[in-house]
Amino acid sequence: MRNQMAIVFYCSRLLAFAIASTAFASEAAAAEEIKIGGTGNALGTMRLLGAAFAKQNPGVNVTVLPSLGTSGAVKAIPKGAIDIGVAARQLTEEERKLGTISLEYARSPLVFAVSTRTQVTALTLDQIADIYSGKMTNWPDGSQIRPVLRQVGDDTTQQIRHMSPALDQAVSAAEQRPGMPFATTDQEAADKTESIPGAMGVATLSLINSENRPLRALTLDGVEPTVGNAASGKYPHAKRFFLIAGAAPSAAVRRFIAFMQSPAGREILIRSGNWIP
Amino acid sequence: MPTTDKKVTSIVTRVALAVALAVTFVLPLGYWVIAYNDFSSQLEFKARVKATALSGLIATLPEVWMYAENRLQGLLTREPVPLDTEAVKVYDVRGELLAQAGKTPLSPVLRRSYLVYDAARVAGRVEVSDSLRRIWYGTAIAAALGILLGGSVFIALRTFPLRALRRVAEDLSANHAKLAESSILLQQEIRKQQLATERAEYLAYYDVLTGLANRTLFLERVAQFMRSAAGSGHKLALFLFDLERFKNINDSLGRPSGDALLKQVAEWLTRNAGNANLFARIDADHFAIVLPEVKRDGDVARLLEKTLGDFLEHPFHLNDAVFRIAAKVGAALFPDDGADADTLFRNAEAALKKAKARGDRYLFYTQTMTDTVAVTLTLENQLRQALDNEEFVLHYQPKVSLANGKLTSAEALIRWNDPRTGLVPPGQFIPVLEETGLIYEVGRWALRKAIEDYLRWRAAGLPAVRIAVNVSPLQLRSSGFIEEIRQVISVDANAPAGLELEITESLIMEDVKHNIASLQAIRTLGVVIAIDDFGTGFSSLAYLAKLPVDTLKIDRSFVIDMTAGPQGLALVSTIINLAHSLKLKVVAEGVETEEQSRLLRLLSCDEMQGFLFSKPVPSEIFETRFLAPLPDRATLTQDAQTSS
Repeated sequence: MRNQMAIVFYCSRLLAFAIASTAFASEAAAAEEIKIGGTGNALGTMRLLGAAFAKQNPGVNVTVLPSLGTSGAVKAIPKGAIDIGVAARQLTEEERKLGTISLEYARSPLVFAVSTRTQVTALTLDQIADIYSGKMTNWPDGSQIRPVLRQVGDDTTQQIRHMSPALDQAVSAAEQRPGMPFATTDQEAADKTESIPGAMGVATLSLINSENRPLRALTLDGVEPTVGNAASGKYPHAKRFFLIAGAAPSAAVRRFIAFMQSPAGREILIRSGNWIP
Repeated sequence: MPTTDKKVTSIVTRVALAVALAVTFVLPLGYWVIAYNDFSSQLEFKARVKATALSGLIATLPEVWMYAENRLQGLLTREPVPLDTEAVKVYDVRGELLAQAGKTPLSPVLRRSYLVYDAARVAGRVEVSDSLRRIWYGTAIAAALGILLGGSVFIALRTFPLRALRRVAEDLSANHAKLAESSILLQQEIRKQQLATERAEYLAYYDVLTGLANRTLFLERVAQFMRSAAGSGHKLALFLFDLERFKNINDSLGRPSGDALLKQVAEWLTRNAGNANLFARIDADHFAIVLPEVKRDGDVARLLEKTLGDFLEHPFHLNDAVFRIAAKVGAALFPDDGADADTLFRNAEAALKKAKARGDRYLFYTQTMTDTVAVTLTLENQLRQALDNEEFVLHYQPKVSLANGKLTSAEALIRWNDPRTGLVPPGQFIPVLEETGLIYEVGRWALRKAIEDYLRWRAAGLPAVRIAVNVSPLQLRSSGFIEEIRQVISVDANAPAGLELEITESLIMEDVKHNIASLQAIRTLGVVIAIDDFGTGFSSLAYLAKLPVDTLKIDRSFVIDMTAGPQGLALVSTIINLAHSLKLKVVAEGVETEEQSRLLRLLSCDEMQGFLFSKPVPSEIFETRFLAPLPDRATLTQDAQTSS
């Protein structure tokens, strides 16, 4: 596993270098456009990166689209509908065959979050399973707990199902419960977690920080979901972010990727609740 | 009956089958139609809901929404409502499948689509599909129920009505004979009732024994006659007829004999009057008679006399014996004795009661009427006797010349010398003579007597003058009148020169054409003719010129008016001039004063007659006073001349 990850990392470095060198070679192009789309958890960070990049490259217009989801980005890249995609998973073999390239650029703790108004700071995985299954319906102050659900095939949902068998069953049960709040995007999930009283949703620290959201990432089984705890493996749940692009990325795209690799870019990533693996 | 039975069975079976089939098919068909439509609209609605949710996504990601697979999935699966059993597919405008959610439904499948819009632009299409199996299952159950229900309906509709019909048919055939029998009985009963009604109606208006009208019908008829009498202004008489000694006959010979007598009386009455409608049997031995038209009171009296007389003389046959029955009558006259039929009838009853009490043969309700009738009848009898006993005499009134005062002729006037009361004034008996027809005989007697006197005077060598005799209407109308004249004057060749006929103007004018011929014939016999009472009969001047007459007598009323004023004088003058222009001699009647005499002479009137010269006098006096050559006569003539 570690070996595999190392290879991927190497490859991505290589790619990044290649992209950056070609980018520098064709700097003359003016009023270039970079359209970025993909998984919602990464979009806030991308906006911060885009803004910083645009400052340095006045001729380049960076647009970050609302959430397309990982699959949306994967599909849109080969079609040229977007220039840079952000995905929360690795490409499949078939996706690679279409010429799409990807590199993992950051990771962020996957967290259970509540509104900052909610007087809860920590939960156990069992408690979370009970919340999804409906066994636990009230917060300690007596208010109603309202878990925000995501679509069945969503990668975040898949990820929390793997946290424990109890939670897997609980999520299945929750999907059958009527009247549950539902969100189709990461942003919508964050919005609903913020706005629905007693709501609890799944997010990344990256999303909370980059978008400056009034959400509290909950301590899970006694471990606080900080970048440090996540990077050290003490907090075991994280989201991996991959940058994907077409087989022949534009100079601007190459420059943007280079900017992400730059100290300025890395700083923005870390400040946004990510760590670079 | 069996054919009808089969027909009914067939009809009922067909109807039952039709209804059953309808029920069988309508139930599943209805279910299917309703469920299908409902299902279809559900799917349509879901497609629309999903399309609307998709439009929200497209607005957020106009260029790339089709790639946002995860979001599309989320939308299709849960937003805004979770999928149930249906499958959802999203196609782009080219028809390429973009995303799908839900399980593939089992066939047969119903699909409903809805277009997805990006603002006004069509961006794709949502298709919602679901299995129709549930509806098919439902329809199958409904079909099973339909068959069950249809079967029940068929059995119910066919079996029960047919059973009921058969029962009714059996009952009907059982009762058929009874009904037919009842029908005949009913018809007989109806006929009986009709006859009874007719009988009752007959009894209400007719007397069963005699067949004459009863009191009710009689009074209705009398009321009718009264209306007609009132309209034409004549009188009506009602008589109640009571058989005397009828009770004795009834008691001694028995009721059947009494009834037979009553029948005979009714027959006699009908036969004698001719019109059965005028009779009625009131009760027992009471009959009623109505005379619808009475012109003169005398008619009533004569009819009563004659009828009662004839009745008494009629022989009624009972049990081989002959009976003569007397009757008493109560009479009432309309309008004198009652204005309505009931009152008239009651008063006739009262009169009858009184007649029976007093023993009179008949009585009128009003005493004066009874008296008048009595007088008339008495007079009539007396006049008959007078004719037989030669109690009539002729008096003569002289006519004298106004020019020289000499006697020219005389008018013969009939007088009745009643041995009991002496001379009766002509006004009292002449009308009775005319009513009774006695005038005919009396008139003939007068003609003969006048000729007789004339011839006697002539034979005696006296200067005999023509004698004028009045002709009554009855005489003139008689077809044998001319022959009678001829016979009267045939006694002597000189007789015609002694006779003058005075005929009233009105009588001549009654049938002027016929009379002209008659008068012409009489004149050829040598008899002179005078128009009497001239000026009262409205002569036609055209005929006046043609009338074969010799003399015109001015009515006394003109002579009286002559001295009253210039108009009266002018009238007499005109008459005289008219007569003269027609070559007629003019005689003024009723001259009573010297003044009248002078004026008439002044107007060139030829002769005069009246009390001024002499009243009518018996033949002996006339003979001695006016015919005999005596100093008296000369003196009288002299007086007349002196006074004029």
